[in-house]
Amino acid sequence: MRRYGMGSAVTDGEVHVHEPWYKYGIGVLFMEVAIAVAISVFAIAMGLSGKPVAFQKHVEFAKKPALAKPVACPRSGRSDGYMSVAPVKP
Amino acid sequence: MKVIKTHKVEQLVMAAVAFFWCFLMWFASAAFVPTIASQFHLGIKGVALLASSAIWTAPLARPVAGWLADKIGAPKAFVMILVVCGSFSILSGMAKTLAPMVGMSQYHFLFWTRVIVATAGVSFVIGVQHVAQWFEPAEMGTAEGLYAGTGNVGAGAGALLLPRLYGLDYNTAFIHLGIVALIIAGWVVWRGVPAKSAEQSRMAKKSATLRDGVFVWTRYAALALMLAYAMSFGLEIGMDAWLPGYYKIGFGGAIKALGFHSLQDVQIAAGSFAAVLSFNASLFRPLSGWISDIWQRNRWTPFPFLSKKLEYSPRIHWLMLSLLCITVMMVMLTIAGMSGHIVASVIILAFFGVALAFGTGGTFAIVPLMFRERPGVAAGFIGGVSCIGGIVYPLIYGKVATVFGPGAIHLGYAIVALSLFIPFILYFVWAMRWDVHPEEHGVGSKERWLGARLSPAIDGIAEPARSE
Repeated sequence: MRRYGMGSAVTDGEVHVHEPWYKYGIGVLFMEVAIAVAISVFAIAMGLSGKPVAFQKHVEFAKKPALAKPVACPRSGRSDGYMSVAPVKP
Repeated sequence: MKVIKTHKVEQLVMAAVAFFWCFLMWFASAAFVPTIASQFHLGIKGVALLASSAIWTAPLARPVAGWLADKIGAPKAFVMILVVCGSFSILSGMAKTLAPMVGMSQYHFLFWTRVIVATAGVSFVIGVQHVAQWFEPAEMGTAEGLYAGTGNVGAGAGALLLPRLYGLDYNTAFIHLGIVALIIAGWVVWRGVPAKSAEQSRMAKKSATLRDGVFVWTRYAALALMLAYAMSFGLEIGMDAWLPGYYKIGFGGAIKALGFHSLQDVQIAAGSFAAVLSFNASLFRPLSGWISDIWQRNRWTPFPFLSKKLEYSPRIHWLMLSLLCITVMMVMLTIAGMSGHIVASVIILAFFGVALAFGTGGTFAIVPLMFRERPGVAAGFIGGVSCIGGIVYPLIYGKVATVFGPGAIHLGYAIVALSLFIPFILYFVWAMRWDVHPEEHGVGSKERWLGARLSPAIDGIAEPARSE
């Protein structure tokens, strides 16, 4: 088979003229190759620089103590916030 | 058949988009392996199992999908896949809520729903059939290349984009992927047409018989092409699923030394390195068909023993070169891994992806020419059974690391190359040595399997004439 440019080819002596979409198809193929090369370069560059590119911001939780400081309870009379419970009589 | 004014390019774009999304759903789990492994405390064995589970259903389901596409038409088959996989993707994203309702642990619910979502991988065969129904033989290579190359990018796009878009929140990612799959299914219902003519659609239906299937499955050349595809596409999907976890475990120290500390950063880095292989393997695939054309035009047949007189012999020689490149790259990946040099590993991964693309593109440049009368059945068998490679290879990598210790995680590639790929190549050389009709040599003769009806194409033409 001999090819005559991007839009036509000769098969068994018969000229086949490709439809208009074909040349765009070939263009897309080479664009895909260019994308593949660009992504490879990007990933390798990222690996070398050590900087991840994230589209979503990092979520960082504010550091808080595991237990909030208790509030003084006026009815109990205790300043540490705990209730005073009278012992239960048997 | 529906009467819809359409164009074959629209059908090509539709098939490529549906296939792309199916691949995105298929490998979405792999993109979040580092998060899932950390959340559920998975070891190397667990990671390997999770990686390989994505491919479990493909070997059996792909031949069935090829047959189904012939029987009911590719659009209906696409809709079935998109609806089922999209729905289960949504369910997998709600594992935390739904798992207690069905009495399962969250991880088991997530695991099994993702196995069902992974059936999306069968869409490749459906799209191959759909494109074949719409395009002329002279433009088939480019059309199939555009379809397969663009669709395969879904796997790489998942590894590259999903961790960046969703961070550690894989549940939301799975839900969104499922919703978009349902929208695409609606588009296919609305605009999908199974073939360019009703007659062609009927022809495809007639060639989907069990006898034709068994005839193809028992041909030596079909088995050789299936092994070649297992070495290229089977390996590609196995690596897509395996690599993010591999870089996290095998290069954990090196990744931290580069400055990636948090789990999300490590996941992004590992996913990006893995995407290098996936993108190259996908996007160079159409180029492989083009190079195959150059070999064909120049009649290049450099290898001894292989057939040199067939019309398409140069394409067989091109595939042979691709298989050798893949084997060499596997050994080099092991060497780079053992050296602990992550940049060298990623650079080799880029060339490795190109070699895989040459293998996948080279295989499907031969299949429609060798099995001219039964391309759907042959594509289903070769494209389906070869996926077993994608299950087996990650399991071997994981087993090697389990037996020899985590430091030996890099050894698996060389072991697979030497113990499996070299015998595969030797079988390929043996099966492709015939200069006349290599597709007819196999277990049982053509007459035995097909009887008086030797060709479905002849059958398809003869029957309407009889009815008239």
